[in-house]
Amino acid sequence: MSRLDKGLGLRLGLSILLIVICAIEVDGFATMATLASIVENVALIGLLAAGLMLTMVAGQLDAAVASVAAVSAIIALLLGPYSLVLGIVVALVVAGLYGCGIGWIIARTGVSSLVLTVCMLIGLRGLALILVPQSPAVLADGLLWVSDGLVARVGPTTVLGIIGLVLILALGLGMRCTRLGLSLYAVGGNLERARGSGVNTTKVYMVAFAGSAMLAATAGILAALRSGSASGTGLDSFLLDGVTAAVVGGVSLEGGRGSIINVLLGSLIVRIIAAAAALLGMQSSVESIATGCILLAMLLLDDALGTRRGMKTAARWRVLGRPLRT
Amino acid sequence: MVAAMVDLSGVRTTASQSAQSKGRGSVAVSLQSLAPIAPIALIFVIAAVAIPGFASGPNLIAVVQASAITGIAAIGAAAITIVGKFVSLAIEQQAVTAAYVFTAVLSIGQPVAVAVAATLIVAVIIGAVQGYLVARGLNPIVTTLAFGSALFGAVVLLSNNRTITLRHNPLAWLGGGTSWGVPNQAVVFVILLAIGTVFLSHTRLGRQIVLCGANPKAAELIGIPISRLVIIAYISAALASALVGMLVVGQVSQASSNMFDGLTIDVVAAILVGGIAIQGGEGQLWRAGVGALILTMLSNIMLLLGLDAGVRLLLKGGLAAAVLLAMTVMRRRSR
Repeated sequence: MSRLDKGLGLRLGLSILLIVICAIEVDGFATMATLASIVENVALIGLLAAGLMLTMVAGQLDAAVASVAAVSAIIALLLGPYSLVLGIVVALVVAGLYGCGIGWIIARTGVSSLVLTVCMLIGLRGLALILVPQSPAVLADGLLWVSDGLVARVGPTTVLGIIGLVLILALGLGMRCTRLGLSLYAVGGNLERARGSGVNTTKVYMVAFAGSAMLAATAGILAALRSGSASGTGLDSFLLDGVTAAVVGGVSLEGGRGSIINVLLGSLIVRIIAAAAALLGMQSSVESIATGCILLAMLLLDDALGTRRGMKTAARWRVLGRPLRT
Repeated sequence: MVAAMVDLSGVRTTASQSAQSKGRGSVAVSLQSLAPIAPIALIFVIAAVAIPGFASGPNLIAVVQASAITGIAAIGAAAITIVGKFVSLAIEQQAVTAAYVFTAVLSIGQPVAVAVAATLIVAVIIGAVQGYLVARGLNPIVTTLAFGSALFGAVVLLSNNRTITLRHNPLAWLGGGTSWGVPNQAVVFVILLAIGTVFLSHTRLGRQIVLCGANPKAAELIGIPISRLVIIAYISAALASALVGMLVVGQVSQASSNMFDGLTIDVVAAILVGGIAIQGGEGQLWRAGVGALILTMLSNIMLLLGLDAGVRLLLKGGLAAAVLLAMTVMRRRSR
């Protein structure tokens, strides 16, 4: 518990430090408009990172989130002319079923989730390009109020930000307070012991990957509704952004560790830096250098603060995808 | 102590298994080694009969050149898979970096030897840094994703995202030329594949790399320097990407930031479709080459059939996932 608090304090301190530095040094940072845009993007990236956290806590990783988000966004917008609600529901259901299938395959075959989801990242990107080969899918003219409504300002954030934050916090509560949420940590912390104490690991993996796919889909749909369009090649930065936010948020890639508040702070740190870079007029290449370097630094820090070597080796074996006995 | 005993017994079983399979006669072995030719030959014959234009000379040369590029990058990256660290997601960024370093050094008037040396040195550094990080225990896929992003950003920033065009191209003979009708890129590919295969199966270092992927605990117990081997694997992947970068610069006489879009996908798919065990520990390097050839032929066929980029990507991902799952299930059954 004490280490959890230390991590929380570290991230909280870092966020406040960054905010103070940016507010003093960067012109136009300390405005309500910047704040609202940062909180909105924190909610969007936070949804992705929270989904990744589900799989990472269970000791796996879903590398397909970027393509899942793109396909879901396209499905929602393509069905938009008939009924936007129907489109969103169909997109979420498809994502959920896909995630259940992936989780089931991983639990049953013991295949490495990293590699299988990299295949899915490739294949689903193809599906996105098949659905919208040329010009992007756009929101129908009659529905543009949805786009305006999502970015309408509410206090220090926007409607989109509130939707995202409510979903993220609900998920965090669910992970800490329900049997299923706790069994995610149990499976990621020590697979054999979790199985020995009667946890249904197949179900846990299915829930983790379905949750990850549905949260990625939510983030993708919200991003597409905000911009009013979804292209076949779009949202491809989601994987790097989501993984960076989750890892900066202290979710261990070795499983069993991660909390939603830290993930939100991780997203906040990443978005503050991105917003400051944009205000300073830096090129996007600087942002990708910064994102890459932050991610590497946090991976090293996570490793240095990591648990005892024996436990780490055990976790690494699991991530390496040794066959699971089910 | 208990763990140590378990590991040692694991080593013994592997040893006895390999002894058994040797005793089973060489007919099965030679049949097995012919197996990869079958899908290639099958695809080739069907395509040559059914699709007009496939068996034409220029098209076949294009297929061979494209598969040589993917293949060279894939046999380098396969070292990462064999040592047990899955795949790298920074392959195209490494190749772009090499292409820019090479053209930049040439365009300031340096001789070609200096340009090649500079490119290879940069590649060794890139590979060594990633290898060191992964050897420390960092997640290989996330590390290469982050490193690739930083590397690509740095290259775009330093080059101002400009395309550098060479007025005089000293590697044109290698990148675009042919020897006895075979593209020189393919010759380089075959030579590298032969060197790599001999290295993995007949040298101490190569065998240690294979063991390290097969059973890292056992390798550590018998005193194999795992970190060093992981670093060597990443350096070889970076060197292969650098070679790809230079070969393509030789072919097109310029470097641009999007010249290798999709190379990482092709290489990952080639390694998986070729059937190299993703858990590591199988030193069959030719599988990466076979995977590259199969994928390039399929891509070419789909292109000739007028299929969209989306369908091609979907089939690549689907085929890679199918082979991955089939391999995993077969491996489990055989235990």
